Amino acid sequence: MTTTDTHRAIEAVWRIESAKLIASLARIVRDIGLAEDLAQDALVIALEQWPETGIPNNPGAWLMATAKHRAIDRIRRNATLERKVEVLGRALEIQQAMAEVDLEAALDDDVGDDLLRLIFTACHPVLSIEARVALTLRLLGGLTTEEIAHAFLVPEATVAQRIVRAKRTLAEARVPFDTPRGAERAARLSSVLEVIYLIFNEGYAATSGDHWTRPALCEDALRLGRILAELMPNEPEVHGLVALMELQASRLRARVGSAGEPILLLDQNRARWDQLPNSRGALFPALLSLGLSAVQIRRSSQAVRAGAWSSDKLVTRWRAWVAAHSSWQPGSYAGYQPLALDITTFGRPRLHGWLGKFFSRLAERAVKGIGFTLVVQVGHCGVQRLPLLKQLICAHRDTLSESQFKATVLKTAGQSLAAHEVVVHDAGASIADMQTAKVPRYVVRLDRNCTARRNQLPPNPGGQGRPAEYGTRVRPLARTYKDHHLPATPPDVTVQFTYAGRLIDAQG
Amino acid sequence: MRFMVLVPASKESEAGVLPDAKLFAEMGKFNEALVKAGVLLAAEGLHPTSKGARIKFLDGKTTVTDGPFTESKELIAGFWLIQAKSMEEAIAWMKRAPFGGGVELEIRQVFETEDFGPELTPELREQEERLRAQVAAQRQK
Repeated sequence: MTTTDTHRAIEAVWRIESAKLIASLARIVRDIGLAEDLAQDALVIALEQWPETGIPNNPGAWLMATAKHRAIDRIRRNATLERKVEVLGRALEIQQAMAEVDLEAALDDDVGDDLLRLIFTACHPVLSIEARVALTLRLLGGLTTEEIAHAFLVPEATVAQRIVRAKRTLAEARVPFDTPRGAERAARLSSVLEVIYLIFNEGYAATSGDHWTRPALCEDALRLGRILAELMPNEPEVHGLVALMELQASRLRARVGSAGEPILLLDQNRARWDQLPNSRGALFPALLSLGLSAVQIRRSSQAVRAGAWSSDKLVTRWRAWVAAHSSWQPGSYAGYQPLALDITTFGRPRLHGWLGKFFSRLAERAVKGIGFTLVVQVGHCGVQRLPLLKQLICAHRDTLSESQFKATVLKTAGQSLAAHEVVVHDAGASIADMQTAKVPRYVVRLDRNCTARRNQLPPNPGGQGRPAEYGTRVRPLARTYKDHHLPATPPDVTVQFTYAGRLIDAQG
Repeated sequence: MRFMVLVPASKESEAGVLPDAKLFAEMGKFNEALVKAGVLLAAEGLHPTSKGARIKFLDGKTTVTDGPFTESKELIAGFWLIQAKSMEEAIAWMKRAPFGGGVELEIRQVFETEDFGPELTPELREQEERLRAQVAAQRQK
């Protein structure tokens, strides 16, 4: 192994161990700036010794022991540090704590609590959002200053300054290294979730554009979210956030060779013919671009969740926000207005085995926590997809099973369907679900090659028309688009015509 | 980045002998550590090849062969799917797996969308295809 190989391996181990190490040290010295310095000392020694001795079998324990020795050394030798520690008022106590700390216990039992304390402290609301993000990515994500700067497209010096100032602010405000309890817990937790979602959205919104430089940020946010979900398994908001991020991240992966493209390529602007899950990822950047801040958006969804807002109020507010942007256009399909259903709760993969049961339990809790389903009108503002909220469906999830809840949602949505509206069918709710719930009109998005799928042809008044047999090819019916009559075509035939100077393909 | 870690089959796993309770417990602890760190995406064990089948595609025909299969060195008994920043990090994680007795894990990186090229958004892709069709049609004329 060359030295660079070993260094890369050591850096990988550092990324795994640094958060736990800093958290354990911070509990002892009660200052995350000092804890990070001590951890960095241990890293420097590791970089010196491990190329010779090899990486130890338990690197976490080795780093903790080294950090402890360095701390005692530094406190003894460095007069300024000793003064600083005396100002903290705990010099002797720290020395004793260092001497007594049982390494195995510190690493296994308390480290979960320490990590949680570190998360809450790094995301303390006394810091600005940029400072919180930088500090979280640095201490918990194990990113270097350079990596953070590259991710947010700011100079490295700016990030370094932000981190230094953040640590100073925390020290000056005497923020205790502890988890919040009681009344302030909800607000502090939402501050943490805001940071994680901001990191995720930064990576996601960046990859909605032309370059794919930042999916790693989505992965970092997902990892932090999962760690938090493990540490706080009883908080539905945390599970809801992880579920939302997983859903959006899976869309990210499916974009090349995307399934579910509409068979009618009549309109080149795909923004018109889109569904809520894709829109939801675009919803936050879209609302951000309308001038709402991330805090406002999160607060409004929280307000609904906490019951402080009625659903009517949210609907009116949402419409007001969108109407303020005069260029909003509703989507249309064959003369109908499509409505999309929020499928965050539907379409979960069924996993098997002990891991599947574990994940299913988490997902069940997440479903219980989210609390409502959105019914939105598909639309766009220029190129940006922006759904218009039409209806909020709340159901008492604690008493309903998932299939009952799905049926309730579809029935309610179907009952309030206007004559010119049509429900969009996606993988979350099957055609059988739609028919059982007696949805009056629904549209199916077909794959490019329609074999081996059970489909009904659009637009289908529910219950009428013959469903295709499983495995048969489905042929599109004759239809009209903007004064052009398209006869029913056999597959693999493209009809081309020019409309408004554009060449349009209609495939069947 | 995602990495798949493949666990090779052995004579015991092929015979359907489940590992002893101690190994199960240690594996459970290891998986729990992965979950706690937010890096585990999937982890499954596979039934022995006596319950498996193989499909061979040749000259437009498919031939199905039922297990069990020999060459137990090249068969797979299970896999992990983990999220890591780099191959070094994946290796650092899997070094902590509680195996012994000469078991050799294989770690492979999973293809992500970025690997297919940064420009291929679905819109651009369709545009590309249409342009290509147009150019082909023009050439035929």
